[in-house]
Amino acid sequence: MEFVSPEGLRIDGRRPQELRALQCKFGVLSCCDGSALFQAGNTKVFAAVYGPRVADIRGQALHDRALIKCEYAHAAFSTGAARRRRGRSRKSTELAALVRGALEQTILVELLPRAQVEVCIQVLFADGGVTAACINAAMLAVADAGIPVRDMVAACGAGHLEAMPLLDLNHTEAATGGLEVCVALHPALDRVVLLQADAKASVDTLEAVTTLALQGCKAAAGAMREALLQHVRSLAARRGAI
Amino acid sequence: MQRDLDTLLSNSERNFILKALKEEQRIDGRRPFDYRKIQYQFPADEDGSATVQLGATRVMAVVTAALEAPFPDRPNEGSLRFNVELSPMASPAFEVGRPGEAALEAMRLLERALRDSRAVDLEALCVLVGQKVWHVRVDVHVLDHAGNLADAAGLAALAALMAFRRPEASVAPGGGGGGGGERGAVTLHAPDVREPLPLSLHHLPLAVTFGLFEGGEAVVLDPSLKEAAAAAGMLTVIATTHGEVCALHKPGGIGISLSQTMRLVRVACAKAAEVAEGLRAALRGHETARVARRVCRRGAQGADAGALLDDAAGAVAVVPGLGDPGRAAAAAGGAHLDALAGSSGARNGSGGALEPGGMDSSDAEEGSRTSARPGEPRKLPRAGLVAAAAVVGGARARQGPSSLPEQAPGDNFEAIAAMIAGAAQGRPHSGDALDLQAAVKPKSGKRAKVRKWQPLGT
Amino acid sequence: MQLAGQPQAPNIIIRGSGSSLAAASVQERLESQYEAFSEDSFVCVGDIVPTDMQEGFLRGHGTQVVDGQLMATVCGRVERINKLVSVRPLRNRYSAELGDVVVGRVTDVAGKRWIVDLNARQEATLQLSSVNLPGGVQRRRTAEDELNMRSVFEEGDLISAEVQALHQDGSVSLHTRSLKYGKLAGGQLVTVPANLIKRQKHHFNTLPDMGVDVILGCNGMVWVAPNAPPPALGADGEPEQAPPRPPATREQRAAVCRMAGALRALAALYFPIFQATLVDAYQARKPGLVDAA
Repeated sequence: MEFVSPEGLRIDGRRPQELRALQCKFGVLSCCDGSALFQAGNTKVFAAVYGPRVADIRGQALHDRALIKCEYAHAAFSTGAARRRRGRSRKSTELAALVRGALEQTILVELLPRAQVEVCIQVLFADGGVTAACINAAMLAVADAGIPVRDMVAACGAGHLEAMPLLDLNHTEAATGGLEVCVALHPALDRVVLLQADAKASVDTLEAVTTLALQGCKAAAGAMREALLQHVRSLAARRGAI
Repeated sequence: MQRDLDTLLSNSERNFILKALKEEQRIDGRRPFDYRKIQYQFPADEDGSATVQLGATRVMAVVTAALEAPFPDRPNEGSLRFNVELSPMASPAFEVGRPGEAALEAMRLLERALRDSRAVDLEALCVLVGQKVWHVRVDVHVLDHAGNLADAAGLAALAALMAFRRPEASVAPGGGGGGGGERGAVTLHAPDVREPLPLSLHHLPLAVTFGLFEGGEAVVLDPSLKEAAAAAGMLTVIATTHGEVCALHKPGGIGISLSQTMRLVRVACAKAAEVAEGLRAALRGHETARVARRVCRRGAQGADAGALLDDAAGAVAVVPGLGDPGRAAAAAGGAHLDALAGSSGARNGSGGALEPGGMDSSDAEEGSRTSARPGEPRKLPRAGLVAAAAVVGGARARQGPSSLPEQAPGDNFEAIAAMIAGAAQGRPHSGDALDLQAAVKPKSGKRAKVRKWQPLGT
Repeated sequence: MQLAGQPQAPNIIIRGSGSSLAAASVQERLESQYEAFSEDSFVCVGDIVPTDMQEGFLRGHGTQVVDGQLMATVCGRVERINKLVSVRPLRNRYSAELGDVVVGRVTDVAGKRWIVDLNARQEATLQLSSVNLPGGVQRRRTAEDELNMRSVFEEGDLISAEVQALHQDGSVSLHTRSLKYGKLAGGQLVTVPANLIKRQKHHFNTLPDMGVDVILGCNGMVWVAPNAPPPALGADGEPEQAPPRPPATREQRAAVCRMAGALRALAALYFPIFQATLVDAYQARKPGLVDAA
């Protein structure tokens, strides 16, 4: 099966350097301080943020900064293969740790001493780029909750198939086992916060793919920013000038 | 950063480390891109174990393999599994029980380095498609945690995999293609009969970890425990010796620019090549020692305890740990009789007979008959060894050209005694029974472990 | 107004008769609000806050200085007061300010103080020395008072109080040193987003036409109860502590439920909550929803 046709179209009709369509919704859950739904193509992720509030376990509260907790869960129907739910698996621990790492660098934790910020992520449909979608959804939820952050964090994935760097792989393209890179970036500060690369490749290929992923991050950041501004304007319009 | 590591360091220590790094000075005197001293240890008798010492960090890896049915979706591939144990012995931050995030992170790094990058050829582990493949399991135990577990665990696992030898398995040509137990009986050959095979590795992936400080300006390679606690972020690059990158791992931590990242990746590739050289040199030394040991063993006809019947008698002669040499000789005699009576090829009997508790009473009686004199313990070994020598001579003849010519039992006895004494302790040989008894007394119990090679398909 | 509104809908259908709000006028008002916001009054996370009109500026909440420029740390509206530039988010957790009237729930009774949960970043403390003891006397608190703390407030009680002091880590000290503060009973608590409650002079609203009293806590917790009888004057002309109220009648409970429903509607639509909007929302309700037997 060829992943890039001679005309330069991928199996889902995109160009090699084209992101999937992004969609952001806010305030989807009522009980939490901030919530967001992030959709990239078919990949759909919910994120909810509770905080900053008093730490659940008093002994864990840190005296000079906030404690960030992260929970990851994916629905049993999120992938094609029917999978038995096993509770906390290794993959959920790993992904939760990655999202927490990205958020610890983003949230200004020194401004919230002895508080706890808890982020819960639920994957509804996993069609490639799940790590990136989780980080983006968490970022949107944190911004919706009004928690002060150093900068927006935007994540994107990229890969290398048939001697060509491809942006934002979907599940079919990622399942081939080729190089896949996931990058999370602070766009305004231009700093790479999270970087995961898998599968063997030369350093030059890695550099090309990572550069492409960074551009994808910047594009995703732009889209997220627009959605956030739109949401804030609508809230302000309803609330009035109080 | 783990909270335990954070609380390990006081503020003044952290400030000192950061200030020293500004002047490119590390607290243990290394330069920013220097590794600590790496030492390798391979135990003499085991073929799949390695202990790596990276400075004060100490990690042991053990590789075992089992021949079982393959996974249903991959009928022609073996499997490779990793398990990382962070026992509380290694560090006060580790707790007993479920693997925490640190253990999981180390395990995932090993998987990405050695399995996902296809470093180990899994298709070569297939013996019989759809029925029997080798499932290799690597257990990594962290004995002492003094920083940079990722690199040490990766090195230990790789060294153990390279030192590992699996027994060769051959498939008897089965009749037809129909199902049934008798199609293609798989025979495992003992290490003495056929040389055990190494795993085939396409490339050598090595983990190189950097600690990031001060907004990414200051970078150190191979952070020690205190440096890791003071670090603002970590970056692990898994690189091969040919300048390729297998995996990149930067789970959060301070942000760095892309150019900085690429520079570190290139440094990592260079460092990986250096470390791989050291690993290869250590493995060469281990291989040389292994071959030397094997040559001595073959010469004295003292094969591994798991030897086949043909060599069973000779094996007994140098097997310590079986306790009473008389009993050993009896076993030899008994086994010999069994051998003469019947089948060649793989049989369970020999392995069982060599175990102290596994002897039939009938064998014991026959053995005592051959050695006859219970009242003279001193002569028993001689008699037993005479019988052994006879067997040896006979076995040799059956096997083909041998180094020992057919001689009278007495001469054989002298020769064997000489070689045993020389190989076991390096002393000048003598024909004295006392010396021989001492020579065959159990030394350290190393040979006591008996591996049962169970032939399959019968 | 629809009682179960969705927070995303800018088009709102308003029904009800006799309401002072006409449907069209609300729409117009909303649209004019949209246009009234100029482009640069909203910033997103990571945006540079424009300060081109000033040479120097003071950094306020919601901003940080990066490379000499002011960058927003939250999404919200820019507020400029003289030289102070800050960004105020539209949705965030309650952060206390001195003098706020709050409604909270007692979660713990610890040595000489109660721990009160305010739905804020940190818990609030109410010291034993900051409450009015029963009987109204002003005296030194003894060890016996400390042992009898539960007779004043117990775990699970709702109280109204005022913020007395703020601490550096965000924790808050309360006091109830006025007869209007104290334990709340016989009503309903509604939690709304804290940003919707405007800080005003009077948070204790008495609405005699509807027969309810509403306490608009600044932390978003709003207490709705039937009208209390006016406090009886004591011998010296000062209001005494009120005796415990009789249980509410059926009509009073219905009125409380209606008012709570109006509050929830306003919260769901993200409208500001103060007396005028409450009255409008109450009067615009669909008749018959709560009155059904």
